[in-house]
Amino acid sequence: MEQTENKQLEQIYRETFPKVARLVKQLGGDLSAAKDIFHDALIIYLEKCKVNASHIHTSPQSYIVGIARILWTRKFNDELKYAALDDDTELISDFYQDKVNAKPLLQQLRYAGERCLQLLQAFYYKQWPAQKIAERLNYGSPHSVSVQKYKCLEKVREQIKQTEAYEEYIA
Amino acid sequence: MLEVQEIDRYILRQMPAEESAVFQARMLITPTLKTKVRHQRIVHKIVKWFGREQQRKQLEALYTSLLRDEKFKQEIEIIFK
Repeated sequence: MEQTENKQLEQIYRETFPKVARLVKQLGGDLSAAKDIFHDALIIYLEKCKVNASHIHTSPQSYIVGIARILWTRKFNDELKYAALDDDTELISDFYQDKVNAKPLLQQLRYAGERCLQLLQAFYYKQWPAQKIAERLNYGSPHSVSVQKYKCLEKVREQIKQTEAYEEYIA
Repeated sequence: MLEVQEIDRYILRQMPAEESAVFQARMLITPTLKTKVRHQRIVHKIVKWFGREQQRKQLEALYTSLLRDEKFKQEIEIIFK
């Protein structure tokens, strides 16, 4: 299953990166900028697939190139009001907030609970089923994954309470 | 644990409208619950950031691996010549 997903991702990468690279080149960017923009657009696409794949009405290539164009334009004109693809405006804004603000808090919390963050990431971000999480992250059963997930939520929440000072980064 | 679970259902919009309205009313009269909800929302943001960071690392590795394929490498190099 995961091998199939990796193969699909590789295929999308192979087919789409050259298209984004040509676009970024036309717009005056270099290879490094093209790669960064492409990775961001690809992540947005993958998130969209998990949450609302039925809202994507074009091929993965067209969608990703469209997002890359918006990201590039936005990179150089924060004030620009653009017509985003369907309901992606919020997704893209959220993505930018992430890049600007996340690191200090993330770094702080990483020391405190890497294993918990991994579990929560598998459940909420990757949206793996509990059975798969149990196998991959060495939990006894899907039930213990479920129990541990809530314990982890509570633990990280408690750490946040104790690091209120960091909230200015994410308000 | 039940409270964490309940807050999660509220944040993730898994509560029916009526239950959600009651929950909001409880937040109004219980400031500690409101604070817990706020903090739990932040946990979800952090999980998303962490997920994205991991995904970026995976894509960087894929990029490095694809550049070992001469055909792909040339296709990209030609664009930036």
